[in-house]
Amino acid sequence: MRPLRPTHSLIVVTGKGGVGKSLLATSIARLSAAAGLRTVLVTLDTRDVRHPFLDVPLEYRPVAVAERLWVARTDPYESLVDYARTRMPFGGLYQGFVRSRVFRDFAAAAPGFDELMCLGRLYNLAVERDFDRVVFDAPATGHLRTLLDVPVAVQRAVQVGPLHHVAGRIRDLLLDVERTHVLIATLAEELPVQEALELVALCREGFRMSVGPVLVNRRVRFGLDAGTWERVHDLGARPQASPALRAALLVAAHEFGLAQAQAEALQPLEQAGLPMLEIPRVVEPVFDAARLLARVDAALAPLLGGAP
Amino acid sequence: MNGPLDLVRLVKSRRIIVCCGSGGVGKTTSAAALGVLAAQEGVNALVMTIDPARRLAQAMGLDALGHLPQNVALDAPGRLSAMMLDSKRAFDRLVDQLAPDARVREAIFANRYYQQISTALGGSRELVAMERVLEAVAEGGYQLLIVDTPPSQHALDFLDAPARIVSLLDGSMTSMLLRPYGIAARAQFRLFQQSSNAALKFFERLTGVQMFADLSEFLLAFSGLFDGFRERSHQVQALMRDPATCFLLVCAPEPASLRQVDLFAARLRGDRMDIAGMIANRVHRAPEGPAALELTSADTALLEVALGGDGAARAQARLVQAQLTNVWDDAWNQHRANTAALDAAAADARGQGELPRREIPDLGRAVSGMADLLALAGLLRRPYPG
Repeated sequence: MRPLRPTHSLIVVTGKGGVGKSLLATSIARLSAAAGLRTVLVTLDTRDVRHPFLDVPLEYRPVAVAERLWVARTDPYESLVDYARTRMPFGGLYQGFVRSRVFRDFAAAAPGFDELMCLGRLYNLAVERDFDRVVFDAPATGHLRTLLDVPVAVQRAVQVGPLHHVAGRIRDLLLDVERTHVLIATLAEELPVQEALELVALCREGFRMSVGPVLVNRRVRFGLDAGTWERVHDLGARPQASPALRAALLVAAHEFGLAQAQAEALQPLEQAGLPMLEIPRVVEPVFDAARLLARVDAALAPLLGGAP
Repeated sequence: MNGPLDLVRLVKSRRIIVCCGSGGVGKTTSAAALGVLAAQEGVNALVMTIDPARRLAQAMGLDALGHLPQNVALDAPGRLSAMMLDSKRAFDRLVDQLAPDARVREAIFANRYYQQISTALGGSRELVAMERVLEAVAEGGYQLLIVDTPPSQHALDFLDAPARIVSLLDGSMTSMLLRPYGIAARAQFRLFQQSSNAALKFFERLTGVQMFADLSEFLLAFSGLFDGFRERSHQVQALMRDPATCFLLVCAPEPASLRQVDLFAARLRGDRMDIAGMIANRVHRAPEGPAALELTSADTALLEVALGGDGAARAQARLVQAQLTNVWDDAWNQHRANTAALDAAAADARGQGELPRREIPDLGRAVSGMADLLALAGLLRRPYPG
């Protein structure tokens, strides 16, 4: 496994909706900070006002979470206001206009505009600010494709002007295998695996980005080998078996079936020869973000060269 | 506790049921199972689905080209049909339908901006999905439409999409761009030289002249479609507020998913749309026995004999018992976690009115064939636990 290198200043974490991208991105940001990198975890604009796993508000400006770790939310309007203020001659004069309803309506509907502004913000954080690493909790497949297409499309559509340059710099960052690395998250289920394969093809073949390994979240491993299980699985039918053994074998059969179905669902990734990193399913009686993150951190540590 | 959600009554009394929820919560599967339930109740239903898993699609007869309604082989008093809502170049098709003439259509298709970024046009997939719903309503022939919604960053984009496009075309910014010219005028470049408008100057500075010209041309061509879009947008809004239409919020029994349900519910209520209730999928049942697994000495003996009866078998039997205990504890913990999350969400929602709720137990496998759909339909029919 090739771990993330310190030069990777932008880590894009993506995958199908519902596979646990945000959790894994949070963990990667924590590990990066722990490895000594000043890290900011960025989520695409969301209606959540607090981060789901870190007990901090989500704001446009990076909010400090722990030593060397910040969290921020991208927002196309805020990015635009920021851009206008810092980049445009007499930028302050435009603030009122940029914040006006008229402009917001327009920007909300103008094709590609939101995406470019969000990418611009990532670029700003990754390159121009004094962070060593941006971990981007990226949107699901369809939207990511758009996100990756936009800088190239805008560069082609806009021949000159500041937007042309911005789009060009963003494209250079995204496609630079020394600076940007893509991690694709999945579950061991049919549809997420299919999307993971599509994402690998898109990022690796389509855009020649640095990709991998595939992060397999909530993986279930059955603790007994198939031979042993084969010999005990039907003991519940014996008259000597207690109701407890009968019930336990039933639950175990369920688990065995799940582990097998997961292995089967991961076949296409194996056939494609893609390296995988498994994050075991964490079962806690009550949702506890800190305990959950600690377990995920342990599973993802090899990404940063740590022991599993 | 939330009241139970009576899905039998729902499929018999509504004409449109929209299933929404964030990605990966079993929305598509729930919509399909609801269709089976409707057919079992004698209702002729059409399930409009998005991107089903391969085996689910096969079960519903959608493995080939499913962009037109297909009959689902099902032994039930009602007829069940299914179709896919997703199609590539669907936006082209819409432009095709709405363009007043060939010249406008060609102008749009030829526009560089449209070609390169049309797929990014805010919520185009969502808009097309709603279009197909309107079509199906107009065509008639079904007593019930069950609509699966696209997975998107904001799962309510599909509601906003038509309005966003109308606001793009209707917005004052756009009128500002278009005002100096009639449809026939093509020399957008002069716009920048003539206009002293600070807003335009700003935009020009920001984006560069070329992009502005392309965008302006795009909007100009698109404005011919404006009446069509506005009309459709109003129809979609009216349809979503119709008393025969309701929304079902589908979620997983996990805090993050339940928080999304809260956000959806608030938004739908704000828009005066009717939320019939929520379906929590993959809820883990409690194992059948006390939380602490206590195997008897007879059980140990049984395991040892089955594993060979020698010294090695005794050690292996201990391993098996440890594994059985682990799995048992996990199952109990999953059940507790699911229940705690659902109860916490219900307590949080109490202020704004609780949603009738239906919990669907975890089947322990991906729902794939018609047998699974029938099992799920049975679970939708009967309250759980019970």
